[in-house]
Amino acid sequence: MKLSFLPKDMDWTCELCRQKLQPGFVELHYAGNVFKVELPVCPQCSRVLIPEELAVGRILEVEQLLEDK
Amino acid sequence: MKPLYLTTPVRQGLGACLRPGGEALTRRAIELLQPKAGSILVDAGCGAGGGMRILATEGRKVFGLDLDFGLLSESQKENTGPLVQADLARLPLADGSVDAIFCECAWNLTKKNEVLSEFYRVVRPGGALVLSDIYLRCSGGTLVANGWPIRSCFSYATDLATVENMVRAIGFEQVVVEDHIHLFKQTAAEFVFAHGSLHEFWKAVVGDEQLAKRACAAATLTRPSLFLLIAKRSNE
Repeated sequence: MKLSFLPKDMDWTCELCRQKLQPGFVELHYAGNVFKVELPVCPQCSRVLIPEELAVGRILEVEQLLEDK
Repeated sequence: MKPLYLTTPVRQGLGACLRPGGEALTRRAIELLQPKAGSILVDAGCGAGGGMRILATEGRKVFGLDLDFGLLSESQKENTGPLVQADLARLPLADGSVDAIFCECAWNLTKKNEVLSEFYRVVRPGGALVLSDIYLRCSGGTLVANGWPIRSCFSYATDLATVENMVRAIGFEQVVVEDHIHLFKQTAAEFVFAHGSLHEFWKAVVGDEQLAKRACAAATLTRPSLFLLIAKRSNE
């Protein structure tokens, strides 16, 4: 399943590296499950921007589902 | 309303293998059974042909059966073996003519006892049945199961003991059952990522807020999971 969570503007910069974030595929690991998703990634340090909506919305619901809650 | 497996969100999410876990349980069953080159296999409920593509490797011969002509047309593009439009309760196959029959996430949508009888009839003595489908970890009985608002592998699922008893009652032996809840949860979680929540997934499927609520409530009550069952027909 193709999962992409790129902001509309992609106008984000890594504060540490001063590099513009680029679209990249990252793996989210939780409770033995792995999800490959497209997110903004720093091309230098590989830090990933996870939008708040994704963290408190979809990721939270996925965690609850995987924990059988 | 279309059955769940033919709806756009499910077709888009699952691809050619129309079941949770995709190819994983087909590969697991092959690993356990080790069917030899030249074996005759049947994919009962072959859908769009994703399973046949895996079964038809290493010199095995595969026949695909499905009731849905549209899915059979898609399966034809894979060119992995003969395809027949057929009701699984009336298989167009001779007695004892196949080495193994695979039925993955199709059985729950059929007349289950009649289909198991047909599987037993066409599998040769010593041959195998591979069955995978949804089961309910909290089987609340028929009323709860019927709470599913769409015809699907969930709405006719039972608990795992019932599945095993049905397979044994038909005459199959050496029944081995595996729970694959992690594959089921992985797929459910991917639908959450793709749609925002399970509610939004079901809303995209059924097109209605209240029906989506009913689907979520049924899931909470019945706690679905996924099983793989392998059984043998005795050599006698």
